[in-house]
Amino acid sequence: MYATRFGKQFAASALALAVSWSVQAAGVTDDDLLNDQDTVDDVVTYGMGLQGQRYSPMNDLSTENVKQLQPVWAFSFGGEKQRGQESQPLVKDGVMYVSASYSRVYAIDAKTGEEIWQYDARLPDGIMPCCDVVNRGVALYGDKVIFGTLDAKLVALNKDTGKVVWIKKVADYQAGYSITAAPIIVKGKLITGVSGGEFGIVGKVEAYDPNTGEILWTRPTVEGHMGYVYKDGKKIENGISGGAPGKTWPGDMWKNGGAATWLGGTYDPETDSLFFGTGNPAPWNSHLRPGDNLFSSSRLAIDPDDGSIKWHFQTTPHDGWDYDGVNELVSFDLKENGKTIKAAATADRNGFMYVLNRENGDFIRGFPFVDKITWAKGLDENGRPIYTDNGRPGDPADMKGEKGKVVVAQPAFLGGKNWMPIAYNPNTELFYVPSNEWSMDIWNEPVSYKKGAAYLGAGFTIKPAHDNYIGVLRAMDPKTGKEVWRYENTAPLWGGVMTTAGNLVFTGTPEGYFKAFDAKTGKELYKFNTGTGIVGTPITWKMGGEQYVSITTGWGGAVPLWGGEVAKVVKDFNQGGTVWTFKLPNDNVASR
Amino acid sequence: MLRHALLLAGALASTGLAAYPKDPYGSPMWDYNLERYLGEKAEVVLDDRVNLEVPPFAEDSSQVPLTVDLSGFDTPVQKVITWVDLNPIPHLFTYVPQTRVTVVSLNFRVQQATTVRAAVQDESGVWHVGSAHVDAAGGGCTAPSQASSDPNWEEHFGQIRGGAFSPANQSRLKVYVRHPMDSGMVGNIPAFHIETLEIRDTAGGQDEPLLKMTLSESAAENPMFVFELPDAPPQYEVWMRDNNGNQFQRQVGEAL
Repeated sequence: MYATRFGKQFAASALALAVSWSVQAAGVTDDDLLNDQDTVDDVVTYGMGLQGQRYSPMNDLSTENVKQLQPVWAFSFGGEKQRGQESQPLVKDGVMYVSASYSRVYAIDAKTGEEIWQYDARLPDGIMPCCDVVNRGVALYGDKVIFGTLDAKLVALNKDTGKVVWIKKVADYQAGYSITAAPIIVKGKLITGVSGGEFGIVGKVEAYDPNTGEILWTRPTVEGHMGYVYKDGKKIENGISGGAPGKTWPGDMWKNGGAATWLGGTYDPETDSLFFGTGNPAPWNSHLRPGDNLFSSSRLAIDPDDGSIKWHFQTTPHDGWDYDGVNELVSFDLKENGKTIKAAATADRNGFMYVLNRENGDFIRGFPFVDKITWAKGLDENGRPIYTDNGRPGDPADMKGEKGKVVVAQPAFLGGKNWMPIAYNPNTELFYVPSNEWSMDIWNEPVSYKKGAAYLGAGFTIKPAHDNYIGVLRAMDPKTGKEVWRYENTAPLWGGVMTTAGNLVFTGTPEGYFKAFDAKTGKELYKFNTGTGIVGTPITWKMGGEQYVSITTGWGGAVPLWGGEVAKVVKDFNQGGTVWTFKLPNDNVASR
Repeated sequence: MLRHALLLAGALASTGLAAYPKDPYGSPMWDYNLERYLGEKAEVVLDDRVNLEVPPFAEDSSQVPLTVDLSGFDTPVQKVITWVDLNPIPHLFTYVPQTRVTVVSLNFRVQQATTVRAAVQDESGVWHVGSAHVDAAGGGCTAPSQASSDPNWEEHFGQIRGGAFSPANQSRLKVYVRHPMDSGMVGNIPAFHIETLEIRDTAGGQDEPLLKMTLSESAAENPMFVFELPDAPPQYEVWMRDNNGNQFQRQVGEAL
């Protein structure tokens, strides 16, 4: 009795000591973040590197042996409320940090899949996420795990205990704000955007001190709003976005102009720029706001030190189709004509893929990555769309009754590509783009702004463009604009992509399959049914000499909520909430 | 590490365990909870000066008032720990005072009829334990909070009322805060409760709070705290923090 009790205590204290030793050796540093794309034993950034290439230099897993990939554990998020799981996990020192629907975060032993801790934010009932209660991931810094909640707060948790270190309100959820994107950490600053473009919010990018939660700067993404930096507790004006109100907006419309920064951003250390995309202008009814409506549907290069806008590139000026410009801008070296250009590429909701010079935002080239675009004939030499006649839904003021002329537009408002991130492989020099082929009927209606209410002034319904497939995973060549290969999927693709030096491309499908493809040919090499739809983004890392791959699974996101006639394809997909982890066992790696 | 362990084992073998006194209420959890909260080597005595007041029967199992009256305990106190023997998480609160605290009162949840304990550690390290028994229909720990069925709960969340009263030259502090205090034991309602409370001397340059309290899941929704602090300064601040990181603050004292 005596000895047993003592023995137990001894074992427990020894374990506690061992844990605290390994903890002291750990903690994510600025260097860890900057080098994430090159280090294989951890994944500490959303995007597997701040530039967002989602490329791993690991080649243990290859086209030869990926068939031998084996599931090693599955971890359930639990709870009755499941919904879409769009999170990308992070891994550091053998611990996985992953967020889930309803603003939950988990720390999991990456070897065994056992839970270390769980944090459930207590959310008010009045949260207003437009497009499902998702979260896309956490940020790691020092001993903290930081994420954004559906009631628009940032929460920093202790990485070992899951206890709250600080909490900070970023914006008013009752006005329609929320946070769904993973924050990023750049030069010791925590950078976040906000969601809420369907509620007439004003988009912004903000920097916080990751150690304390104190705000450092704020940059509104709608022309006319003042930016600020905070020094020694003082709020100092730092210039109006766009110089002055009213240049590209009529009247007071800029005051509720949308341009939500809801997908977060990437960072390029070579040009020291944050790249954030901005969402649709509000309201959707474009006849209420003639003008380019800056900086909606744009990519912004932002100075991480004070939030100043260095340059902008607007993909859809005067958007009338909900073509948000939030999609991630991925930095890469464009090698052509014997030169290496500091370029960046993005696949837009509007169906065009853009290659920009990331030093100054100059347009290099743009090309469709979907089969059909109805709203524009093409792009001019500056990358500005050449609108088709009658491609825009009609002005309700021109018609009897409330509803303007209905037009059929392609892509649908859910986009040629939506939030799900692309990947770039420097070996194949190709981008891998998860895209969808669908159109919509769209019409405009009168609308006026009311706090916390949907601010659309539009109606719509989505239709698949083909009978037998909607989703298309494409390999796009940024030099030629040509599609090199494609994989067609019955349901719309809604999960992110990863590529590796093993000449592989990974992604998941709403049907529940985790898949691997040959990066050069698009040949499908592996699939595994995870039991629920995949709308998450895979990662890979090395542990104990073996290559691991993980993905969150759990059907949901915007498609089942907004997909219109797509419902007939997806209605039988069941919800879930699981992290699946696979590995290539050591003895299956061919000796090289 | 190993050497240290062996030494410790030797020490234990030579002195043996301090035996706990017999529980006047005969609770099956007596030894277990004493060991869990006070340690297996704790020196424990029963002491009538640790006076617990609870209603004989809990009308509302989710709101049972407990008063720990230490006005008869006239020697300095290091620490006070309270627990509810038969609750799923028995611990209610622990506090460390830097000033004399004669009364602490707080509502708690009760899962079934149970004994309630308060252990007061004196300067020599000895624990003085007082007990009381509350009869109850039960279920208070696993019933959903009222706030969890109110879609507008956040509108009142964190509202805090408090004031100092001085009956018969004592400083009596009452603080009430609107908080669901969800225990985490109700399906699909995550734990959401106040973990820490501090009473801080705002005028004096004292670093340590006058009182530092940690709370567990047994504390009731919308907690009402009462403290009697005979030697309290004229002005002080009550500060609380919940497990979601929300902070609540209230200035108390003459200047108001």
